Amino acid sequence: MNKTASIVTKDKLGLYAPLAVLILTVPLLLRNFSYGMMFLCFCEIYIIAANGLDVLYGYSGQISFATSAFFGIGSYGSLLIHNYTGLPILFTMIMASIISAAIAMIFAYPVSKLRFAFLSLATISFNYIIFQLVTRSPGGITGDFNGAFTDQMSLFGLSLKSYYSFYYFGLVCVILLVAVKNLLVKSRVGRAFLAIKQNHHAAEGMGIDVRKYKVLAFGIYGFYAAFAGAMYVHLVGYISPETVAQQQSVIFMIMILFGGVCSNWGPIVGAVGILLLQEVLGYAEQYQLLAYGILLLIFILFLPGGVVGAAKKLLTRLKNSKGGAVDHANS
Amino acid sequence: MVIQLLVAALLTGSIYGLIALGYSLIYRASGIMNLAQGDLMCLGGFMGYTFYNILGLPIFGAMLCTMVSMFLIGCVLERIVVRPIFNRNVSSSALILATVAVSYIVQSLELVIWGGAPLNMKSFLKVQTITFLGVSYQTESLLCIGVALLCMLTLHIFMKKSSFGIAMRAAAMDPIAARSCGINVDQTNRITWAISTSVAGLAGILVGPLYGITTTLGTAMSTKGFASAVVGGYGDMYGALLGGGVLAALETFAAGYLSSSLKQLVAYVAVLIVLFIKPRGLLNVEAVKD
Repeated sequence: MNKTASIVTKDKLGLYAPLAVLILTVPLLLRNFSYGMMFLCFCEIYIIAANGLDVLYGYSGQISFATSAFFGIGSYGSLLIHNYTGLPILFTMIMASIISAAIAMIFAYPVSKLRFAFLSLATISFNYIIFQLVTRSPGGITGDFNGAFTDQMSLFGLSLKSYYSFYYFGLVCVILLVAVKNLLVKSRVGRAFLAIKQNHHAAEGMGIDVRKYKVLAFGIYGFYAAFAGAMYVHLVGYISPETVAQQQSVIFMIMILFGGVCSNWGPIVGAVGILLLQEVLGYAEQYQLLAYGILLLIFILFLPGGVVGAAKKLLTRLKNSKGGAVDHANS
Repeated sequence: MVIQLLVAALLTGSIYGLIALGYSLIYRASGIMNLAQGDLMCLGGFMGYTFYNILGLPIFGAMLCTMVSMFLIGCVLERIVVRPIFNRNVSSSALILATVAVSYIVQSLELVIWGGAPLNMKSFLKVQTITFLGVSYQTESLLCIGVALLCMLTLHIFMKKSSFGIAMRAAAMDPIAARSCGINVDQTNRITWAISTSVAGLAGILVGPLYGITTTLGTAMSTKGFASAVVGGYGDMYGALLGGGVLAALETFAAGYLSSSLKQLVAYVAVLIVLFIKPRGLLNVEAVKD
């Protein structure tokens, strides 16, 4: 038993150590390729948002088509607070994320009784409302259809304008937020989420306060999505209302379905995979839509665990077949 | 002004109602929310454009051709997408996403075949406006309202009087009992999808001369139709029409009396309020199941 455990960790170490080295040294490899660095920064941002959605959809089983609305609350929130008060950016980012989490929880309180399609309609409506507010803001503080500008990232007076420095800042955020998510979903909160997802009547019967946990899941989701949004606005220095459009929210759902829900790697693989797909198909909208549609159908019908789920299945099958062969030889 | 706004509300309401009708029919038959309904409407619009503008058929001929081809598309859709998903027993949220996938595929097909530029359909009638009691009406709008009402009436008679319509309602109410009475439930489901699709197609050809046809219209219409169905009472045919009317009236009067930029905001806030307070809709239909 002990032996197998140590083998597993060695296995994982063998896999993770080169990966960690690669992640840390990628900026050196891409020294003269700033577009590639920008792409990696965007990956970090979308990984955070996708992880938030994974908590909501993957663990607590609530569908949401409003991710870009919370993303937008984070972007516009941090932008407005920073532009009007001049507070340091990291502080405004966290403030905007907390505001977004609060809005998400207030929204979730009445919404938590709705299920499936009705929940999706509620979130779609919420997303449209936020879009309308952003594009027709009182006094035009959000720049309406023109978008708005703000300062780029800086930390304790240190400018992180270049994609290279932002990459490391984003990396720290990703590791922190994914670690928090990991701790959370492995705690009693995460187990309550899963129980609610599987059968909310049974969960209620076991003494789980279903509404409380559903609201909590929305709060976490709101925080993650908004933090990603705030990172986005301070990476680019500009936000346009298109970022808040409802179609963007569907992309987030596709990301986590593509990567696979309820796992650490799923949202990461999903976000990076879909962003890569967008790069490849960037210039042909009709083929992008077709690719999304076909990918969605394939993942719903044949690979409900996403890429990561499929890879895991394949690995266990390989292991089992190896084990089976050994057993056979022994007998 | 009130009468003009009322006509405008009736016009939008009849379009929303037609789409919502499709949602409700499909929901009753198979428990799915088909978020592709608005894109199927657009597909109908594009087909109507082809039959009417390009092939030069008379307007009612073009409507008929559109409805027949959309009927066939509905059959195909049910056979190659919906049935396989059902047979695999995937979760309800995956079903919603599957219909989103269908809407993407329909949109991309539209972009490939008809291109991205908005198409303007020729107007249906030679006389543009008629004046009645000192108020002038667009004849196009009146025609739209008339055709939509006629379609609803026909559907009502079909569902209530014809034996196939009764079989469809029975299959929607209790598939197992219906099957044991000798009703071919698979067939009624397929026809329900086909009817919903062709009604959406009719809505598409009707909005053609009014809004112009673009692929982006579909997503907005999907949401509006869905919202109408929910506001009226999900799964109920008459609720769908009522909901469409209420939502359209809210939008039109908000645009008329407050500001046209508030139109969308008012509509979506109303949807949220209905969802929060009365999730079963105005007609209080027992359609919300766990």
